[in-house]
Amino acid sequence: MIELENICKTFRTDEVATLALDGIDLRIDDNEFVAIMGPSGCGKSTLLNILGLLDSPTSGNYRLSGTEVGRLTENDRARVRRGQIGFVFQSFNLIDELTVEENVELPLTYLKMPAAERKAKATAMLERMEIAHRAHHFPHQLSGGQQQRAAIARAVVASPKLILADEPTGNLDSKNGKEVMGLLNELHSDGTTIVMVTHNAHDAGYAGRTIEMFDGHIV
Amino acid sequence: MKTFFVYLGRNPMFALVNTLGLAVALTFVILLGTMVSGQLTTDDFHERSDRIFTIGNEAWNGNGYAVAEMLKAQFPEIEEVCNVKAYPVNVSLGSDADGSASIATMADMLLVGRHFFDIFTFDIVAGNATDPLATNDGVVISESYARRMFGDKDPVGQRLLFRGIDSSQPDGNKMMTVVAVMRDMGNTVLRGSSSGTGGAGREIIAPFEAFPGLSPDYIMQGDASYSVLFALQREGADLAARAGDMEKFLRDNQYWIYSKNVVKEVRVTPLRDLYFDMRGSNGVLDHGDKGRVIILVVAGLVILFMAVFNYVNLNVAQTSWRMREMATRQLLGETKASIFARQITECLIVTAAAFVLALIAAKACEESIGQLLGWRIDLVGSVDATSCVVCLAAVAVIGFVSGAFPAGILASCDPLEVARGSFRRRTKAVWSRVLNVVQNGISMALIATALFVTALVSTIMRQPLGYEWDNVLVCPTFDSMDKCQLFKSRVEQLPFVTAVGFSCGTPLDGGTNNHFNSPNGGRLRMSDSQLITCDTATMGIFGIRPDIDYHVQPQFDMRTSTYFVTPAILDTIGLGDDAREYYIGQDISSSFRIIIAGVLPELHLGNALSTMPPLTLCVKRPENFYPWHIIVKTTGGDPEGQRAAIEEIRMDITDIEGDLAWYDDQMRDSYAQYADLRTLLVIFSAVALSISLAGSVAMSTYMVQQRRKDMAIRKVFGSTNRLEMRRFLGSAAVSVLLGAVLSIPLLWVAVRQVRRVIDFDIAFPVWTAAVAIGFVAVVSLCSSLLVASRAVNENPVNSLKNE
Repeated sequence: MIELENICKTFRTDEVATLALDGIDLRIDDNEFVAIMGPSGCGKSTLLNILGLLDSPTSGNYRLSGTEVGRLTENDRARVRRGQIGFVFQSFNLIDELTVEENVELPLTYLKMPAAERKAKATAMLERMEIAHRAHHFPHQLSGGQQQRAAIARAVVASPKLILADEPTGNLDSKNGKEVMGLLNELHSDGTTIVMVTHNAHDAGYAGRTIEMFDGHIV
Repeated sequence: MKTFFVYLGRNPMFALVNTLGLAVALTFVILLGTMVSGQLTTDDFHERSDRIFTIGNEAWNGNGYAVAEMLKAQFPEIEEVCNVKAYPVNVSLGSDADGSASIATMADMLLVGRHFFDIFTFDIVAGNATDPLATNDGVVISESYARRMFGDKDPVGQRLLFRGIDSSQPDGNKMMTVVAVMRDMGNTVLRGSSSGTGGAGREIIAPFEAFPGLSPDYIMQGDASYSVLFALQREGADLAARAGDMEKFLRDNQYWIYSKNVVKEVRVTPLRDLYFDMRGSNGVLDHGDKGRVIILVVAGLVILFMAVFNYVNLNVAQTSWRMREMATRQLLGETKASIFARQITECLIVTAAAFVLALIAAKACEESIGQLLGWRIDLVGSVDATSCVVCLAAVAVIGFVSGAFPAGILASCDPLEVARGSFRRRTKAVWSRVLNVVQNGISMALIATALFVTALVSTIMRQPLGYEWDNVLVCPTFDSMDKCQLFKSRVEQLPFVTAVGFSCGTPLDGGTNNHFNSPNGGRLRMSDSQLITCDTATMGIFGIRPDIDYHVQPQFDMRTSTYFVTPAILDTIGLGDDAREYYIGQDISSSFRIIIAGVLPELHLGNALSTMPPLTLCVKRPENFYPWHIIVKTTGGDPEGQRAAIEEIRMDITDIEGDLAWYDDQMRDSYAQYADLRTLLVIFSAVALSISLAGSVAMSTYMVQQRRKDMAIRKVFGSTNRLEMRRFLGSAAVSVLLGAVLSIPLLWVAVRQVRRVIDFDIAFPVWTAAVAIGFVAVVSLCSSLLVASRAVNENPVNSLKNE
């Protein structure tokens, strides 16, 4: 599903250029659950952003489902993301001004899905995540665990083939963290490819493969 | 404070918009406030100001000359009286016996009763301070006039030659001696409207008795608006309560304006009420239009309101950035009260800085704005304890009001969120959005009002008045008929001159105001008209062509004069269009015959807004009357050159300066106050729009900051830059739309007020509102577009990373 070939990413400021990824070669198959680990600043999140088409590599090739996507324009990247990639963040990143249900519906609006269908899918997903009773609440009215369930619901509501999770349990207690990992595992069992960045070895244990990174390299 | 200044330094746009926006608004408020407080305290400085009154009637503020002494003799409530008459006069230095050494220049003179300086408090700074008007050859002059005429010389004892004023002398001249110098007139209705915006007030004060020909002691047939009658009320008396008795007394004594029912009341008016009293006073009393002042004050307050709104808006916006600082301070032990006080102090500092900037700006433009406002603004002269207290209170109130709301927000942030690391910048900015809508609405209403006034004034200025005035130059007369004729014959030879005529009055200025009786149908009928006397050349110059012309030859005979009348005059007298003559006089037996030479179309005298009585045109041969004006018609082309050539001829003939003015300029000047109002509204609109624009930019910046994460999340889940921009502009468009809705009632109120001030009816041009709304919408949306474009195009990773 994912093929990275000699991916480099350099961040430049006026004074200094920082090489965040240095010649990454990586292949991830369909329905694989991959954990990426490594110390802070090693390039895990940068790699995840490139995988999610949120950022583009400075050099190298990136093929997603056989299509080269490394040099797409921003608008084209957005179009590829729609429906194909779901994201789960450490800090949930729900929109404060929208209800839980509206947050979950968000990816579907960009697929131009009719409102009734959107609503039905969102409701179903919330039920699956067991937070349907909180559908009309705003994010700040939810606990951390509930917010992350909502965020996962949003990530998978459009049935993406790939879910990218950036430390999904980082802001949760162990009980909620376990539940979230259980949900991800469940999604993986349903056939979704998952790439997860984590510091937590226990969470990494849910993955079929763990990639260690250090100073922009896969080690 | 350090963090505040560091914050300002890092956000120069915020600091600039915040301080300058408030400073601009405060500049106008300071200027307008100075003007209004000056107008409301006019003549307060006289020691006896609460005992000084004018005695006039309901139609005009004036009286016959002799009425003053009659009333004083009859009514013990009157301690003293003083007639005052404005009398512009040509004066030259009297160092040579005949004054021929210097050119005579026009001086602004007040003829007054001898007790003038006993009633009014005008400081005498040199010369005879105890009784300066005691002699018939002494005058008091102002300090600035003394400098103008005598330079550094001691003016007291110097002589001035008054030209063409003394009918008892063969040449009409009279030599007078300066006996005292008074300080330039300050804030008084006697200052004279011509000097109101920049001059130093009346230049010469002279007693009536010095010029016997100018103090008619008759009242029954006299000019009932000859002078303004000031009365000093006796201590403890109630002069106003005797108005009815005065009316009865004057009627019983056959004072004609009462006995012939021209007016019905005696009106006693306190000195302090005179500035906003719009009755005519033959140029003695300066006055202002209350409606116009209200428009300007409302506009000024609206701008201040917008600026303070903006200020609050920006302060609320910046709270989202400073909450982390305030929460951390609370964690480290600072109390909420202290944080509240800190924010108020910061706002007070910015307000004080804006006020200082505003004072500097106001001082810099006090003269030019004063000219537009029609009021001499003297900021330095207005400084006293009261004004200082008012200013400090204003700074304190604005600082507190604008600081309290954001201070409340800052003080309410929860330090635990900072401790947990779960702190989020959150403000819904509902108030900011409301403020933005209000600003848009006000800007739209102000711009539409300015456009409406522009359209109105433009329509008024293009209004046909029933005659022509292109390329017409109005020249002042001379002190002898021979000079008039000489001037005429020489000017006629100029190649660009097509006609020269004589006239007493012009359609713009009017002529003689005549009340007369017409004994038609066996009974007297009171009629009212403006009488302009002119020759046929003047008629031709103004293109005045009778609708009905009986081809009567002009003649000069008091018993049989030739008149062109307007239909309104015939209607007033009760005659049909075919009437060939009528009679006027005090009674039927002594009436004299008027030959009707023809009927004119209706002419509008004055400008399109004037309400003068109808016109009667008395046509005479040019050699048979002494003109007030010499009217010159030219081919057009080079107005300045032509005027200079004619003036050269004039100065060849006389040594008395005069003002040669194009009729077109005079007409335009007659609308000057409306044109100035238009200019002021345009300035106000520009300022309002600038403040609104600054507010929109700040608001958009704030909203963009608030929505960066929102945008990033949406983009992560498939939104594009274009979709996000459309969403952002949609929100701005809603503000504009709500502003447009709000602007409609505001505009309605403003237009109503304008119609009160400018009494001319035109249908409200809808395009003015459409243009104003469109303009503000475009400006607002463009500013939002510019501000949002960077955020919209930003990589969502950065936005999420910064959260």
